[in-house]
Amino acid sequence: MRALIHRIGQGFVVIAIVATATFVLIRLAPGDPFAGALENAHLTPALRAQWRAAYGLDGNIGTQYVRWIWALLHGDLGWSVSANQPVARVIAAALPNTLWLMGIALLLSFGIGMSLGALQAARRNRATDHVIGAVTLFGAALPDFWLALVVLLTGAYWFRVFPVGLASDPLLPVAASLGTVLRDRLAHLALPVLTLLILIAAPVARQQRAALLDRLGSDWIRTATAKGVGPWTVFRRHAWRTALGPVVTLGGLALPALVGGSVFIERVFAWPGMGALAATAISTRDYHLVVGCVLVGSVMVVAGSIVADVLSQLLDPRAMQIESDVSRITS
Amino acid sequence: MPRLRALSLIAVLTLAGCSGTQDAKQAAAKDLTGGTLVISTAGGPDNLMPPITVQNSGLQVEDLVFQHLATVGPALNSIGDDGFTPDLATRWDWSKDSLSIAFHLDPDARWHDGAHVRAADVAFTFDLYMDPKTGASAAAQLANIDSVIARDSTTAVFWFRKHTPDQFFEATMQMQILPAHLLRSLDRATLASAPIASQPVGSGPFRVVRWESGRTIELAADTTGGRRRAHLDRVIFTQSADPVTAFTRVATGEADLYEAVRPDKVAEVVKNPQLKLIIAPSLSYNFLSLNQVDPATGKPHPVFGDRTVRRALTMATDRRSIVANIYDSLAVQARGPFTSAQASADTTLRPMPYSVDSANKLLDAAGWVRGADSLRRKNGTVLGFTIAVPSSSLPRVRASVLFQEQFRRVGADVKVESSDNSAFGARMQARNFDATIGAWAQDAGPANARDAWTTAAAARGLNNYGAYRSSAFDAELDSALTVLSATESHAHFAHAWKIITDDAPAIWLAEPRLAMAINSRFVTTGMRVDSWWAGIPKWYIPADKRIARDAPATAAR
Repeated sequence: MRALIHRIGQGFVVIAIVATATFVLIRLAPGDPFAGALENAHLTPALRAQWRAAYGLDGNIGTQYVRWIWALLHGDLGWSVSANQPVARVIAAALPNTLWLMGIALLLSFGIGMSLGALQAARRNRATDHVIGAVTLFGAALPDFWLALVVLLTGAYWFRVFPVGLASDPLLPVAASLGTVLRDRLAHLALPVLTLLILIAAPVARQQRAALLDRLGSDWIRTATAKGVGPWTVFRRHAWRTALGPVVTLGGLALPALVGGSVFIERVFAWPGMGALAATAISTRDYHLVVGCVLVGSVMVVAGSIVADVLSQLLDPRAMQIESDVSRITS
Repeated sequence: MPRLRALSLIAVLTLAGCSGTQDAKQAAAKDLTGGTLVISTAGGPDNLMPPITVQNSGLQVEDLVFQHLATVGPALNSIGDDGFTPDLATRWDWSKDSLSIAFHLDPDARWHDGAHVRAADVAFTFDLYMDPKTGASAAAQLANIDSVIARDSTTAVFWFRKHTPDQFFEATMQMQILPAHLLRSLDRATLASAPIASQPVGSGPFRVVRWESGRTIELAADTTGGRRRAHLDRVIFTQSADPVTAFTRVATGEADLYEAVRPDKVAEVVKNPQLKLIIAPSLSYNFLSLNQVDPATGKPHPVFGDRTVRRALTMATDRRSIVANIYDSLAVQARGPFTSAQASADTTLRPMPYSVDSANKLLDAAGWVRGADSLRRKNGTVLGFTIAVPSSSLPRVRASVLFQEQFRRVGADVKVESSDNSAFGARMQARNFDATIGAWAQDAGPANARDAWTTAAAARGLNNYGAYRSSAFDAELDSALTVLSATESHAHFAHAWKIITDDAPAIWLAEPRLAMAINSRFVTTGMRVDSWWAGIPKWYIPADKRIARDAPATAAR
């Protein structure tokens, strides 16, 4: 319990440092939320200064920081100039879309990637291995922005099977049945998920294959085989289970994308998620929104990492024993 | 390339040819009511509160939701009230000395919440726009109006400080009338964050049903007012940050209209039987601004402080080919700080010729001598400068590279510096640049050049970023804006344009044209050069061309 409290304390420090650094860095970048819209000659710098003051963006960084912290302590993440809404409301609208998209994409990508990697390892140096290897190498090498455009044009423009963009049909009636709504959401998900699937599943498959081949050459596999354990059992119970480590690590690295989204994919498919939101916030210097996005992202990452640590300790008795020993020594 | 031009020419829309009266008769003859227009955009509004809205996408929505007292005609005449058509006001009376105008409001006009629109709303709106706390960008354009009073419930009287040619334009086109009963109690300093800035209540032909920031704005035809309702049931703006995606939504039929078709997509639009291409003039122009003040020292710029050098650099550039290279047929070469569609334009003004020989001679005469490395120097200083461009604007980035190459041919060492839009904006406001490719998106009024090119606007903190100063230009422009005769005004404008183009404070580049892809089931009419969307209430879909989404509207999710 003490270790858990310690980790939570560490997490708060990390979040505070990340949020503060973002708060300062975005303000050090040239421009501000009112520096754009240059083509309107009626907009004078005096007006821009007035708007800055109205949104609490006047004064030095220190003054703004104190204002922001005070508001944060009252549960206020600030006002998004670009979205013209409270930051919390903007993020609350975007976050479910990203969780929906990235959750499904990661689940499918890891499921399919691991299966392909396992299949390759099981069919090592055969045609199946070579074909999947070539395909995954190609998939891993594709630039995400280019791939997204190709998938968009193929699925939505040339063959017109799926909608071009957005998370749902803006014309869908409120009275539409649940089935209609679900079909609509899935249709809009198809192309961005397919793109992410190609991009993520390819490296997962390659990692899985490499890890499995490494394990299959191990002494304990040879021993298990010599003891007469069946090949499928050896593969599944002795090789695959121990080869999950690198893939799980890869999964851990991908987890922040659950809340951060994918900037390029969301942009190309007009998916209203956190990635596109953060990109817009940065390009428009929407200070409060940038810090809000980073804050939410860092909270989720820290929370996820604490949960993962706790889970791994619960699942691994050796880790629990070590933790217990350390506690005894330090006390 | 020639094929593309031919296709484009076929599709050119003659805006002046649109006849609202004829359309009204057609609408009366047939049942044209119904249908949905889905507009695909790459950007969204900042807010929907007219005095403080900046983004063009916000202005588009507001023009459908709110009303002016009267609207400028297709010729964009701003002298007197010639060509203006009634909007919220059904008629108006000038006083004998022309220092006041009484606007008689439509007695049946209602706000979208059902309340009557009254003259007190007009007086309140003026007060709101002029209050420094509001921060209305149009306040400076309303400075000639002394006061607005409600003579009775449907008569608003505007009192002017002096009789000027554009006083009617100022009174009508610079303000959209707002509901006093909903705004009176709000803090004017933070209007943008008030809920009504996201769910505005206007008196125009459409009311806002919902606004999901960054995604969708849905408008529905309003039937509470006394005016004839818009033909279309709904107008839905859908936002896709990526321009390719925004265009593809129209190409596949998911959306109906995209207003910024790129040159490389024109042929695709023309080939698509579901789409039609509309090409029309716009009020925007762009230019390479040559800063006459050295950003490092605050003294005259070592290169651009010399008029001869500025003229030489202008002659060194083949502007026609640059424009064709970047825009194909979707722009024409700019002649000066105006566009051909403006009433103040001088379409006989000849741009400075393209002549590398003349440019070299002028630079030689100015003391810039070519060295062995082909670069010119004067007193040991290289003829060099940077061109600042926003990385978000592909045409400007491309133009900067073409300029760079053409300047190299006359011995100039030019570097291109691109930065994102916010950083670029900060740089412009700090005037921290040698040269930059700028653009002005003008309104229909005559006074745009005053805010962008006069000595008064050259002071630090105002919008004449290149700090061009010419008392002769100022005087001619001032005369053009104050004489009451249209002929005299035009002559003064022509003199002003001649002076500024001879002085070459900028290399005038292009007047981009509006290139719009729209689903061919729509019959469009009433477009104005300053706002193509102004005609949307008159657009309709013939009954035999309607599709599923044109069916009588049910509330969208």
